[in-house]
Amino acid sequence: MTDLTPAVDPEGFDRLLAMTGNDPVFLAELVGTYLEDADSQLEAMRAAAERGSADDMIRPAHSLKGNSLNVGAEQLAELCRQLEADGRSGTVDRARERVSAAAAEFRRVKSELTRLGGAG
Amino acid sequence: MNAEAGRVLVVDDERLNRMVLRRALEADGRAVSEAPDGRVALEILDAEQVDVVLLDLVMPEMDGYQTLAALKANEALGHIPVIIISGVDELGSVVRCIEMGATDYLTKPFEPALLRARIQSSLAAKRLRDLEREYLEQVAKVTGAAEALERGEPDFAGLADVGARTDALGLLARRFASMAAEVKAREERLRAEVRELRIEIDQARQAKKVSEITETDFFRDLRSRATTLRQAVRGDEPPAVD
Repeated sequence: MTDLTPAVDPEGFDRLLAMTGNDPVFLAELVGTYLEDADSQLEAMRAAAERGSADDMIRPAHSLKGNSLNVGAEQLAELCRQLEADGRSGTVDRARERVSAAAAEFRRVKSELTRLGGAG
Repeated sequence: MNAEAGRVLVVDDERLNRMVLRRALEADGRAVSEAPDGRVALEILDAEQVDVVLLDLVMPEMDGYQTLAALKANEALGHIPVIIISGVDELGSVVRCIEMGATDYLTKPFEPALLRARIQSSLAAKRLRDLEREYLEQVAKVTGAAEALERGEPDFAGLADVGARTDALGLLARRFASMAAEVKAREERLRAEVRELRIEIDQARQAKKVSEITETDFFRDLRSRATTLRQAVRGDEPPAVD
């Protein structure tokens, strides 16, 4: 099933542009940083899910949630918010499934950000 | 950088947040310092003059709550406004932080207009607080000088900067310094007069002692004998033999 909701909310991306002063070079640097950090945060979430460690889920999910909101990736942020909440409540039964969903959503976000000219 | 725009310390373990905030703050002419956790933030606060702190809550090493508690417990740093950076789902944490002394909060994603307004409002509050602290310090200088004067140890060195103020406190400091200088000068004149009077009293006392001695019969007899002896020595007439 194809998700028709934009991976990067145009309004959120415009807000990011405004924060950067519409500087395309700085925007590319920001998006590059986001993508690089997101890779390692997803990896840490995947490892926490494998171990069934609720505590280890909290920080990477929290970080990826905040960073995703900054670039307008709201669905990914929501998935991370659920994973963070699961980590805080100590219930990570659905963590593997949710991390897989987050990873899939991240691929959409990456593609969209690249298309928007954020990173090459 | 514009000194009026102030220095903001961004405390966040996420470099992306630090990058975004730095860019937006610098665009408004503000100076920016960054810390990835609370421990580094406190080191920076000890070393630099910071006007506003933007503080994330979830951080390694020392989190936002611990950092806020340490900052508010520090007499030298407790007055610096702290704006909490939080997610929209963390409003319970924001309430806790405001109870702990945080000034305001900012939710992610950051809104440039909201960021600017909150920084501006915190800066204005800090400037007002700084003026109040300075005023109270200068009032303490004037009352300290008055107490020192009462103890007889006048010291007006600290009043020069208070006297430079153009408000009522400055006028009070200038009047006080000038009155205190007049009192001091009068005291010195009185001391000099007392010294002179003491000398006159001593001289009168000496004269009295001399007269007490010279006006006795014994002294008169001695003087008469001395006169006789002087005449004998000069050969006027032989001294009488008793």
